[in-house]
Amino acid sequence: MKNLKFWGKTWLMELGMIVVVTLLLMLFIGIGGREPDWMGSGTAAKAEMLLSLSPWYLLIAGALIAFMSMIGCFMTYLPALLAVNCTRRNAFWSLLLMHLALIGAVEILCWIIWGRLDNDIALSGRELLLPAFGWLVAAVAVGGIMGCAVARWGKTGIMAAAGGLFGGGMGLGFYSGYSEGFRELLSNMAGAATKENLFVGVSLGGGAALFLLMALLAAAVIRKMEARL
Amino acid sequence: MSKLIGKGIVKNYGGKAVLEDVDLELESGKIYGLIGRNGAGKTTLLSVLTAQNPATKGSVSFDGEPVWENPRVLEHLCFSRELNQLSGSNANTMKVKEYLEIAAAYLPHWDKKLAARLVKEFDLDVKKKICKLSKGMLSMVTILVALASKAEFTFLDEPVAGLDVVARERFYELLVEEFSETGRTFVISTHIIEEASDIFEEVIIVDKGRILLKENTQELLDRSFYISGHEREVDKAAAGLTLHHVEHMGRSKSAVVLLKPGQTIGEGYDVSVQRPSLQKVFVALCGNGTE
Repeated sequence: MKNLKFWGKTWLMELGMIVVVTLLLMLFIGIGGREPDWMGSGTAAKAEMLLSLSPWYLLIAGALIAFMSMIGCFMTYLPALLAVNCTRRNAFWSLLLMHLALIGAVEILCWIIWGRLDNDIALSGRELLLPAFGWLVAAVAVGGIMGCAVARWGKTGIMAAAGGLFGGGMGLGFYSGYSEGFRELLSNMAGAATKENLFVGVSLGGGAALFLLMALLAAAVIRKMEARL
Repeated sequence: MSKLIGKGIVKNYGGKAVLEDVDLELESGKIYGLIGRNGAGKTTLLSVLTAQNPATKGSVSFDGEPVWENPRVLEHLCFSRELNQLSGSNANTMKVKEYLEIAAAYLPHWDKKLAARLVKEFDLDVKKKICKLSKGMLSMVTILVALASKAEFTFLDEPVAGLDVVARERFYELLVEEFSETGRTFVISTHIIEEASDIFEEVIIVDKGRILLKENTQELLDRSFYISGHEREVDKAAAGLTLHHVEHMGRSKSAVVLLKPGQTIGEGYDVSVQRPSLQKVFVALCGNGTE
């Protein structure tokens, strides 16, 4: 019950933040965007366009907030919970389940919005909901890995993890520019993306694998974590 | 009567032993004073006893049940540690209100009314972040959580650090009131020994990661003496006794002795024999100059 009280409140607060970020994104796009001619003209068309795109913003906001939330939990909430007698087992499972529930809620919201619309954006969006869940899981996982780094090594850890991610991304980018074989691999992967099942499988599988890795690291880090404020 | 027992507790940090083979037994219904020099291992000991910090070796049990990861046992314990603005932990970016809400959610015997009363009495701004609180306010949060937890065994780490003398007196009053009403066990680590010594039923002295002494406070003071006089006379009067914190000034010598059963100070010598304070006994045991 006490878990539900605390984590339920945290879940609600973070879902609220996701909605706020989504609305902000929609506001910026709505102010700056031009009317796409394939939707027709007028306010109604623009509104339908925004509504159709809103689940994508929800997914972006969801990934961002879930990622930051994982890091924040390792830095702030977990040490505080351990300081008030929360067991490590409890903290570990609550952390994972809360974040899965958070991205699950985002998925459900996207499904509800796209489910009510009948245009191309909504139709293609519905087909991408499953792989999108994989991407959200991956975002949670990466946030958790960075959270483990900061819990283990402090601010140095997060800088190292961020540097590693950035450096890895830049490295891949440069490598793809120089290596023809690598570019061919990327093209094959993009082609595979048009084969729905493979794309869904890779997205979900990749997300799950990262999540499992994160869970193992988190279990080890939380076990040794000292409660402190 | 409940008992919290630590056996063979070892805690290492980066290869260095902070606690070495510590055995400790705490009984319910007492107020213990935990005293030791900076870095002696007091906070580490308290955090290991309350499963907030894993021990490298050894075990802690409560009424025969292990404490580690045991929610049934953890319900009986509360460790309200010293809060520090500069602790380096990011958890202190939390607001006081948030911390108290978490404490209320997870400490099963949390007394909301008492917590609200203490917030008012201490004039705590609960909307402030922990890292923005003054040293005195940080101590007040420590005290509030400890008292409102209503845990059977409550551990306070430096609760009076940063409090002015009036606030410290008020804390001791609240502690004694709470103890009288509930009979809870309190273990209080403090550097301000003299003020607190009156309320400690038992004193535990930690030195360099080991328990140097655990004894009824009055019994310890009853067998402690401060001897001073001419060097020759002091040596004769204290023959066969262990002298602690020996000080020389010219031909004068002074020292603290702790008598073991059957020991006495020699009579008929030209020495001054006085009763030392608990603080003096502590300095004698943990300082240098033992002969």
